[in-house]
Amino acid sequence: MVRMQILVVVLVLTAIAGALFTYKVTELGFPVTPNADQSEFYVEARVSFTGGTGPVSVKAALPTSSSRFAILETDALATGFGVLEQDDEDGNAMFFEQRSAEGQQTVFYRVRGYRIDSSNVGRTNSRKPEATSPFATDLRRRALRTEPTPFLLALDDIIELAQARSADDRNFIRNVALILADTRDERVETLVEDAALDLRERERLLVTVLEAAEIPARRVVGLPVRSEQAAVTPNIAVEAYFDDMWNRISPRTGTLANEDVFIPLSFGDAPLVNGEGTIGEPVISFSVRNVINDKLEHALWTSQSAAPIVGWISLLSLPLSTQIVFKAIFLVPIGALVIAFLRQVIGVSTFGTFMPVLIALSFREIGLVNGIGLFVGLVGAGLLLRAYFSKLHLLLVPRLTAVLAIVTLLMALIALVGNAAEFPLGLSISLFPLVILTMTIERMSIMWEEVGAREALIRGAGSIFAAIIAFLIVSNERIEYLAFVFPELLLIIVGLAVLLGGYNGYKLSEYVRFNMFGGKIPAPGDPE
Amino acid sequence: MRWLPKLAAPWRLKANHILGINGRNRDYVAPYNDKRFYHLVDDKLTTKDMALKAGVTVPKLIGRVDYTGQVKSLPDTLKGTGDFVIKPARGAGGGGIIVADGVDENGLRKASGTRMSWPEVKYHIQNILSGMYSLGGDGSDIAVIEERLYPHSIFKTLAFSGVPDVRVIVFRGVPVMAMLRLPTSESDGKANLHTGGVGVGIDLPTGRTTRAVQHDAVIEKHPDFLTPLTGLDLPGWDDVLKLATDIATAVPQLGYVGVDVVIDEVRGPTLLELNARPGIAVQIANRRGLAAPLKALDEMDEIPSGTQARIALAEALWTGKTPAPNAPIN
Repeated sequence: MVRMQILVVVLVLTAIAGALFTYKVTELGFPVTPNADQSEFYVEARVSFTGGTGPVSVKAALPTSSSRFAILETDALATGFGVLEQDDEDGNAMFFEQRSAEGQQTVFYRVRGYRIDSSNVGRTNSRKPEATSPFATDLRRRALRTEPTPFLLALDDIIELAQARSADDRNFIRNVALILADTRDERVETLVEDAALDLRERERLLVTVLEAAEIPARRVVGLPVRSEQAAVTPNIAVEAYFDDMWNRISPRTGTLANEDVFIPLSFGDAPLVNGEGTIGEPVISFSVRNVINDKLEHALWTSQSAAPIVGWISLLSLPLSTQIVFKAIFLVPIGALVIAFLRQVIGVSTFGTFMPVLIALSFREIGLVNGIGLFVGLVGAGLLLRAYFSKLHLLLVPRLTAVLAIVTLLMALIALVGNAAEFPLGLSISLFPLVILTMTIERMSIMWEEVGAREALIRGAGSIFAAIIAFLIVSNERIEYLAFVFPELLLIIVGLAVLLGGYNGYKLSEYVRFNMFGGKIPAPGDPE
Repeated sequence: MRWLPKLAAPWRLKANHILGINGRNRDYVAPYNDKRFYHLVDDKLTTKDMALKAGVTVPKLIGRVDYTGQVKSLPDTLKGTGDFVIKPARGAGGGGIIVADGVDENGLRKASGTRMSWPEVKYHIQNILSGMYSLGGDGSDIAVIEERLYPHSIFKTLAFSGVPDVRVIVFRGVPVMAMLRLPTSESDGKANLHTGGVGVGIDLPTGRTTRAVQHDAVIEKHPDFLTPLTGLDLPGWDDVLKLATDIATAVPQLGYVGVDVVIDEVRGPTLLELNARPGIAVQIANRRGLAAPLKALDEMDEIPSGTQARIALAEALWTGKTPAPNAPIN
């Protein structure tokens, strides 16, 4: 009876999931695999502000095409607002305007673009810009003759020194940067301390000196693009015009920094966002997401008219930062199913079911090898600490608190060391691995005391093993894509879990454990 | 290929009626053991009450510590007591147990000969109260102080430092299989099989030991004493079966239980504790599968009542003279 019910439940779930999946694939043309082309991505900006009583106009900086980045399309999501794009020398901008927009408002824009391969970086045919500076060579010379200020003397000295050491613009820029990098240099100090111009910022200083030497240069605020990121913080960079194109240069060394993709947002000193008629300044935040599949985008677009509900309930309609979170969340049930299989059918012993899944998810963020190292190291340290606290005759709950506090400190230490070594661990050091680590330490040490080191180590190793297997599955790009684009497939996961729950057969480990029963055993009653 | 573990042929386990963990959980524990009644066996104080009502022998209760504040008066409570055992009421895996010979003004003497000062005893009891040795590993617990059991003299050369017990698997009030569990030096005096204790199979009708295993492998002699482990007749075996049947009958809400019995020198078979999820290693010690008798009992509409009738049914199932379902047992 129960067996029948299980079968019916599984069949119904599979049928629903299969029908939805088939409809989306055949009728709406949703592609089943992610496309491998990683060159396209979305930049999404979220602007939030509080509208006052009168008309409101908010100006937000828009990405500009550069030598490494080309914009394909721009669209805005701002209900009730008039949207206007405008280009000027500060860069492109989008205006959101409304006669009356009182209270908290949030508007979005989204730009789709693609990265240009660094080997294909072409020269632009744009007209050579002109450097405009109140300290340009002839102006400077004239001023020096009439009224030689310490600022002008220092500036002139630096430019002449750099020019003497270099034959072309590129070398000149490098020499200027090297001189400016030494902040103890008396001339550099003079420039920085000048009250009229605010040159404490390294980038602003470099631009001022280069412009004075008649090399067109500008300060750029833009987005560094490494990979998909829920939040991207804008950076300041310096661009100088030589070799018939704008080149991004590193202000520290003066060398070319064109290899990285950098999306310019605004040039000069213009702020990224400003508002008229708002209460306080608007706030802008950015996120970058790879375009998973352009066919998928197309399918979503067409489904808006064919089957609006599908497009509406699709997770792809969520804001980017939420989408990235959901991508990870959808992998949790898949990982849990893997663990359930390993436990019920293979017979791997682990600490609980969800701990290995969560460990696997944290592996996804720091990578497998680092993850295993971090896990083993921290759990080992935690176990030692716990043993020590136990010697101090501390009670259970305060002892757990102390272990948790020290594990937190250790994580902070690792994050700091990692940061200094430019090893990005930041994302993975969040609340949930911390809680899991502490729980693992406590459960493992209790088991250690009660059942012995052997069992505790077997479970610990089993947990890591299960986490590795789960990681290999959840880190698969296709599986991630399928789970995210076709969330109905989770119903099949439910079905498989129900099936697994009804499994009363032997575990693989029991074939080993009961190997003495491999032969024929005399039946009860038979003489032995 | 010696590094590969030896595997049983997949069809053999089924043919030999071996019960796997999944089968145990799905076919017997889940349908027969109602989770709401687990507390009856998880809490030793509750078990003790039930056992006394059912007329089953249990170790006498000397005292209990419910709150940290009560720890202070402990030296006074225990003054004049001879030997005793301190254990957590909801203890798991035999953790947190102290066996004491007696007390004086400085502390207590452990049975192993070492001493424990009062502050050490208090710390230990506080750990028990904070739930450190208890099921789930958190929450809170009660420390139970009870009479110490003395294993029968037959175990002098069979049990290393700890207390040996008999684990009887009882299904629907009928004993189906039993094994003797012996502590070893490796298991640190605990009669727990996965810490290295020895499991000895028992011929259910007679109480004679048949074969022994350690770490799931067959052994001939006790690893510490080198005494033979097979062919021994356990004293008071009839009472062991009677006790197991009676206590299981008294807890009908839990149909599939492991009954742990200590054969005491003076009191005879005494109930130590009940277990609602008994392990399946008993099959290895007995070289016999649990699935056949369990399935036969599962298919019976009604189990005969009365201790003697149930023990007779148990013996019939063991010897293979399985009665037809619902047939009267004479």
